Amino acid sequence: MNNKMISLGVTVAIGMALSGLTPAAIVDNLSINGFGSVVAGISEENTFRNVPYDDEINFTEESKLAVQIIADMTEGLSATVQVIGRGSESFDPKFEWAYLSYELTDSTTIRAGRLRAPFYRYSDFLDVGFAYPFIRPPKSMYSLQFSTYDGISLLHTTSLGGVDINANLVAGNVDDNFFDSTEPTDGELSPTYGFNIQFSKDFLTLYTAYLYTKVDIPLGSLETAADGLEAAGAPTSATDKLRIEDDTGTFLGLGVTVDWNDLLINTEYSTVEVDDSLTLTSKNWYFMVGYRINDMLPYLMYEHTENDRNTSTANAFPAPFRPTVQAAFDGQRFEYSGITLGLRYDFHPTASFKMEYNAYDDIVDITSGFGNEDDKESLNVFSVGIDFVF
Amino acid sequence: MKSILNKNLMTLALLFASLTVSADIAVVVHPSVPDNGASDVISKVFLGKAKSLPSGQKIVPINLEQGDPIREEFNDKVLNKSESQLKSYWSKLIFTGKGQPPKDVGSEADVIKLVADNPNIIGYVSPGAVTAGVKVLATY
Repeated sequence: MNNKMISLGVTVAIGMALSGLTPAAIVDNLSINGFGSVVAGISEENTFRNVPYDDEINFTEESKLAVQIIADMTEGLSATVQVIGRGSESFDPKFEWAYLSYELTDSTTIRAGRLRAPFYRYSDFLDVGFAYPFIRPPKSMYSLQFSTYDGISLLHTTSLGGVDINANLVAGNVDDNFFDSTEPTDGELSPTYGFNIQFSKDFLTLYTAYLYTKVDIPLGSLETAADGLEAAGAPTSATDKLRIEDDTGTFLGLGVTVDWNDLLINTEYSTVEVDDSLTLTSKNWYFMVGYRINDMLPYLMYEHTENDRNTSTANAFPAPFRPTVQAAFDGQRFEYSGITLGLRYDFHPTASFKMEYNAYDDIVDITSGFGNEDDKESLNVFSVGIDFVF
Repeated sequence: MKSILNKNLMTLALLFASLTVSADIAVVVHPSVPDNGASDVISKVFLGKAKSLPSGQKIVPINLEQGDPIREEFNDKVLNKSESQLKSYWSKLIFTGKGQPPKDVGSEADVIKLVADNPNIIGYVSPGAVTAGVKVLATY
């Protein structure tokens, strides 16, 4: 009897116990789970691109409902589908995950289909509010606008000297709509390769993630500007450094979590870079500390995002064009810092109540017309919500 | 002097004995399951981090139902987590396709029956529910 047969035998045995030993009810190979969030938020009259609220209370923008079905086809093969409806997309159902999974061994699983790109600590369960403390992970860090890819993933777990190691190797491509808060444009990241490796021992967890891709996003305003510059005599070798066309994109992420008795500390750092395009390299980090008191988890968080200034591209243009190009790069600036005070209350084993106050400061978001170098903005957001799983 | 020492040692021994007797949880397996190192991986098995025992034997954990005081005791003493922390932990695995929590069974008698019948199942009960058909791997 091989392992897979044993696992089938055990499933059947437990199935029989659960169903009062009636063999008719044994065929129970579908797992149905779900999760959701109901979030209400309010901010101020004018806001920047990270905040979906204005000065009227809104219950839709961050609310969502998802259902997941796993069909266990036995012998290590299973199919998973997760469909999510987001309030911000009129609750139109969207396939977030849809993949086949095969257990090569007890410690290695290969998955193929539509999967979640493993950028951050919480990427894999970004939408499952119940699985993390905050109402939403800090947007300074969780800034990438796409979360799924189509391709394959190899999961491997092992233990070395008492350290648990979880590795996820990914390869595939992303077809999505980018710049949705400023200028929605269909684009692709193809191919995309990357890994996320997590090390944990006792109360400490570390992870590092790296992704490499080729980016093509034909942003309308940018294409028009590049065409205009060419018509005015700028060489294509220079305008190619503006267009987002077959450019190398890289992502680096690092994170540390300390979960020691009632103390919870979480910090992450990332850089996002797209070479030879009208985008700025961003550096993002946050530090969060929380303390559990029975079913309560009050927490405090500081987050920050900033850009590297780009002057080299403007210098690749003939002198007359330089001020225009430099102004275009400086117009991409998107920086701010924020302080969050929040509370999670587990009032039920499968549901939690959360409230969060975010004070954003030193905002420079030139594309949204909210804050610039000489006149940085600040903004307050208050939100409450309930996250649940079933 | 020596007799006083002996007396103290005896008190200490009795104290230890009563501590052992007052265990609230017995982790049980099939009598054929070898002991070598198995008790060290109990929490890993119940958290889905290990799917087999150090001997290589495939093992599947089963839970008592939510709200059962023995389950709460087990969560607290063996897994060091509250029910909501565990729910949050499992939701990370469930919604990333990385695992499913142990199945719940209705009573201690069901746990004993399943374990006694199948060498690939591990469960826990109160010490009073242990029968000759199962082996106690560890007590807490």
